[in-house]
Amino acid sequence: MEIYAESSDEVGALAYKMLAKDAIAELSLGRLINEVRIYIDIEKPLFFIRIKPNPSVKKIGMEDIVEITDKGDGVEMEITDEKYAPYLLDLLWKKYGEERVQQIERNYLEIKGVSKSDIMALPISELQEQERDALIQDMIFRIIPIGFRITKNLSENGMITYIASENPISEEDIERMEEIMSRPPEELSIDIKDIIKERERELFVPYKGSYV
Amino acid sequence: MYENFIFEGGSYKHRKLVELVEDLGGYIITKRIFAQEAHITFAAPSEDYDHIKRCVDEIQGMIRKAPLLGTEIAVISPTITRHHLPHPFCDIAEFLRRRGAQTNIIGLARGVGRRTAQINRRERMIIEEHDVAVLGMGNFERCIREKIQAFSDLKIPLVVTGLPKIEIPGCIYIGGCGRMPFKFKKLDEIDILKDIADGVERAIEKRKEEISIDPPPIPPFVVKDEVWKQVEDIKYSLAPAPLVLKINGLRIKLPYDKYHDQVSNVEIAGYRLGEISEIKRSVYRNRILVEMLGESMVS
Repeated sequence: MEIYAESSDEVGALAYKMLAKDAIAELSLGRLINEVRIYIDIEKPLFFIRIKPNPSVKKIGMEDIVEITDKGDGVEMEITDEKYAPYLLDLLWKKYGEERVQQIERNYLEIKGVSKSDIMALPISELQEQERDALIQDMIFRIIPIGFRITKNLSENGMITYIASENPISEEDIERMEEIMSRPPEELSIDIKDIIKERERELFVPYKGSYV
Repeated sequence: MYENFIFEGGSYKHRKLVELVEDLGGYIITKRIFAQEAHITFAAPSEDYDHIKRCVDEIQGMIRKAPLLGTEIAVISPTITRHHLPHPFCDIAEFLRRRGAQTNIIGLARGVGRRTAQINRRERMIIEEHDVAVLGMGNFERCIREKIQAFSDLKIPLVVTGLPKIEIPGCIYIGGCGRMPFKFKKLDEIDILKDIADGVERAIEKRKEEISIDPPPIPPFVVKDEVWKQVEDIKYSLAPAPLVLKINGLRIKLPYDKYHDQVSNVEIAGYRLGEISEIKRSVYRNRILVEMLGESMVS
């Protein structure tokens, strides 16, 4: 996974690189993300973030997340992987209607007028993507400065892209950002050790002196 | 000349130290006994330090100077969202408390953004009740320079922290501590906290110098002692620190309307407290603020 942060102020760009790294570690998204690119325009100010998800994550099937038993006129279904429950319920309600799909308990459903094989054939790779995208969006909103209330979702072609600012965002801004993002990313020339410098210290410090 | 100290050690025989301090003409500011541990903060004449040190060695405790003892410091965060709190503001506040200060963390309602950052009248009044304000800023130099304008006319000394190493006129600026998502653990990071505490100390010293031009006739810690003895209901206050010492006054955590008469009638060395101080209503929860008047103002 690569993280690139660019800005005319390198210190700030480095700070946002660290922030992104920490947010990814906190949500344990390292496996789901291939690349993160951040650009901060200080003049406007604008915050641009683009995330390339990892497509090679193992695909799941219906058999991995539910257990189904046939019941003559319908099926009984237990959702074993709870994290997909909201997306799965949404999918079933859309497909069969709310009258036929009844939620008896939190993870326990009854569906009338379908067979086990019908349900098993449903394509659910989208659910996985929805769940992944929700996590990535959560991460993005942890990174974007809280003062930048105006956000636009520009996601397309499997890339998750957001632009945020405290001022109104115009079409020209978006075009300018797209142009900057089309260039290959640049590495930062500084490191956190240039800012938080190591200092000379005695090897032995009395216990009380070490923290006051 | 009085100096402030913190004693940490066993509670066994701690009375010995308390009695010595009282005999030397010092004042106990706080005394906390947790099971076998004692944590005592006190002010004592600096020339008697050797006596105190000998006593502390005898009861096998530790003593250190507490330069920030008797101060109330506001640590200001732009918001209370997870983008800004708890790191690193709680680290800063914790470090100031270790040096003896009483800290309050204040989250602003609309401190976010660069153009949109603002501070309202009530927040400003609450901040100005403190001795020094520590203001946490972000990572970009330009943002810090523009945003500081909103806070530039605070009447109390301002210590500002941010990531870039720059200098800002009119305040004490300490670099290396911006919007960081982690707790400060490494020694190099703790050194930054030390720098911030040193900056606060400098600001406090400047404030003390200002006060020493026209000092109050009675030092605030004496007033605190007397208020504790003469206002009975303060002992039943549920606030963790019912009496907070400031450089030039006190914060008494009792309702103003009911108790301000009683507080102004406290007698100290032939004066009424109302004569030698200004008793005000705090903007925060209607508590009582005592601000000592200079010697020239007391007849």
